[in-house]
Amino acid sequence: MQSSQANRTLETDVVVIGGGSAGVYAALKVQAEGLRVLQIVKGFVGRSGASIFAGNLQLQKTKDPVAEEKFVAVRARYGSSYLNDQDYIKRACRFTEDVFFPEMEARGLYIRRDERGELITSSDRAAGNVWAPNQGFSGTMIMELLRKEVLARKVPLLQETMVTSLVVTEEQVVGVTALDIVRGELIVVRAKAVIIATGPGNYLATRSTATREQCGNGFAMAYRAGAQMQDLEMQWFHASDIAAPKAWMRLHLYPNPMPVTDKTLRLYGTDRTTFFEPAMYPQVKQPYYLQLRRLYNEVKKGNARWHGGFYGGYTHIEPEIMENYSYQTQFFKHLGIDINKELVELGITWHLTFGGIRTDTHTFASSLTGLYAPGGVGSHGVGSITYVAYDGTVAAEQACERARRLTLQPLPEEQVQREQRRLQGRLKVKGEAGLLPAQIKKRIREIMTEKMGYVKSESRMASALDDLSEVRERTLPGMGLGSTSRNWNYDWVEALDAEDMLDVCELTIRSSMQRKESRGYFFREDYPYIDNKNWLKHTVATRVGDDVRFEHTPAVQKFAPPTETDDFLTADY
Amino acid sequence: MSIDTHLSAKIFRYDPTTDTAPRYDTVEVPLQSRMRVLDVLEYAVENCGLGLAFRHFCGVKRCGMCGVNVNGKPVLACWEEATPSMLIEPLANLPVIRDLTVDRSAFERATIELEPRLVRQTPYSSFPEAMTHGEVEESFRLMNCIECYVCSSACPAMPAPQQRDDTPRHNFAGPGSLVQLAKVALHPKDELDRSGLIESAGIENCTWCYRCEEVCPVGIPIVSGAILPLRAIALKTRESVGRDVAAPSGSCESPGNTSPP
Repeated sequence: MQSSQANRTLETDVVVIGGGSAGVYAALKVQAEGLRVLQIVKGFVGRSGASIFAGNLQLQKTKDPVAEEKFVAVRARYGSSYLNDQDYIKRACRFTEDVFFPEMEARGLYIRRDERGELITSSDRAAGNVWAPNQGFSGTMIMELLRKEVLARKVPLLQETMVTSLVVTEEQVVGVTALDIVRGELIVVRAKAVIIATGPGNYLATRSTATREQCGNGFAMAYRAGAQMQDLEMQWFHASDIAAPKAWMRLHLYPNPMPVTDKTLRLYGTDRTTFFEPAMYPQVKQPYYLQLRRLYNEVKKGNARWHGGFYGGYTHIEPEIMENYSYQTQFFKHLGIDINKELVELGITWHLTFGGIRTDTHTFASSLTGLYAPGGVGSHGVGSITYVAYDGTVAAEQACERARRLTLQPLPEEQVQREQRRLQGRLKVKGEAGLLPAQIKKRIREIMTEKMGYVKSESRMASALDDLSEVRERTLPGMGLGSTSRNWNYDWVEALDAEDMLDVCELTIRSSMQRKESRGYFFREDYPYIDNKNWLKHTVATRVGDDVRFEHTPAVQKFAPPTETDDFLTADY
Repeated sequence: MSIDTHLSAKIFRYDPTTDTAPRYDTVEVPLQSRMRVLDVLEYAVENCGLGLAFRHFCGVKRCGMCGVNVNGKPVLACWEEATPSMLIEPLANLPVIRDLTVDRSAFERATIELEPRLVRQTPYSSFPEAMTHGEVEESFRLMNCIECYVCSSACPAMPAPQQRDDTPRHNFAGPGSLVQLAKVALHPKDELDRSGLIESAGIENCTWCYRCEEVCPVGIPIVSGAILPLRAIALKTRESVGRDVAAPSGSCESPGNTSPP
């Protein structure tokens, strides 16, 4: 029985891990280049992952050099507090305009229009948000079209299959190991290049916008294989996602202007007075970071809690706009909430991570030869379904170029067997006092929620590390499954998730402890200022045995912040 | 346990690879604010320690993967409100993989066989192409379909998955797949004659019972907005074919136009 576990060995030129926009664009591109591809998705192509949540699509104006420069400057300032690669933003914008929109519209993507055929936007028709076909549904529609593309083109595909490790020999990625969730088979894939596109979001806190299966697996496998990680501390939170029901924590109330109007969501405190709407800050180009800082003030005053006690409202917006253009409206109706008259209780939610696997934004190559990291799993993330399609396309070109030069390498047997023993070792039933993997994941998320929320400090982070160590040392050994059946045993998947989550959470906390300032969505109460003199830098993490080494590399670029230091809570970025 | 503060859920458990027959586990769950069926299933695992197999990804009606039967009615677990006493079972009409997880591939395959992708004869021009909302409205009304197949699971005209074949009574693709076909067939830029595909989908099996619309969690007008318009396309083409045959034509002896004995 033990010896029969290496169930299947497959060979291909390029493996693509992930079924969102980046992964699909990569897989389609490899196929179009005439090479062999194998796409492996933990959930289902176009149904799991972050891409289905894309709400607003941004029109660009890249043919006008002045407008383009202005756009990049705004994006650099508000999207990433000057850490993001500005040249990358420009290239991704051009791809969006020249390739993504035409290609997707040709496939049937319907960008909402009016009766005269003009695109519906909020204000600027040449460069603003558009929707396909409703606000809150764009990513779902894009991914539905891309899923059909993958299926119709018969891209070799393993769905409900979890990649568990990258196989590395002589500092090159030569394959992956995977678990077929449906059959419980262990799979080994030999490949000349691996494209990892597992997304930006990770369900690491009790409330998260990431989907169920996104448990930091991409970060964890890349880090363990030796890839450098960058800026993992740059974690984004949403301030305006519905508080209840729990299942709907990913229901986002967009703070951007609604379609056909410039009016936006307002936030209200426990006392039902408005504490935030973008119109209060006319010079500011992006509401997300500011919502959080204003919410912090209200929480301090006792006029809101992080997970409730504050509200969102559209009562000042015409009912026809909500009815005609918002996918979310039906949710309020289903709860018996009259969105045109009533407010909705909200909570803060762990959103995407700007950081990730350290990438070169010209090639999406990681520091590990043969591994490419397009999309949100990379460290260059801005968070856009259209940008990551660019990433996937470029990564595929690079991976193909590599694959054409190489022959398949022999797999290091000992490493593969070690991984198979790890997976096999997790397939055990829990004892009386033990916990199911899902219960341990819940505990990890509680620790992150309590001690690694929006407001951080050295002591709370140190305490979170202690708590996680305790989970690793005391709770994890007793972890076991409901049964040892190999048939769609999701407990088994979650056991692997729990291990990955511990690694990623610890690394995130340690990266956060490195940064002695606040910036963007990263807020340390013990360093409540933006320190551009010392911290306009990336945090780079490299695994050294069981430990991690941190380095800092400069991030100074063309568009730089105007001052050396700024008060975090009042600065305009 | 107080009825006011707790609910009771009886949940279907079955692993065909190890169990001889299905069984049911009952859990008592404290009521949460605006609780959904999905919240109950998560509670059963995280707090009651049930190693329960159920599939879902987004929790908020985008992935379409959390379909279950609750008290006999097919629903999305993320959308349906939890009630004091629930019997939670897998979606009907599909093979059970384990517990509440079903094999949806028959429905997915039926959709792909209908080639639900836009086909243009006229080359695409440039973004944004000329098109008014009015022109795309028929297709637009179907665009929020998330392919959850709750409708196909509920449809009384659907053949059991193992019985599906090309013969007239057994070839029905089901309402979910027809919505996907209609979405492209009704798109103003689609230029493929889809009448043959519509016929191959066994559309005549639909009995207009509207059960699909009753259970649709996104309110798609499945019968009036998809199945009836598709039927109209098929009929129109058939009539025109009839007229062509009736008209004098030199091509009537070409192969394919002669009926077999």
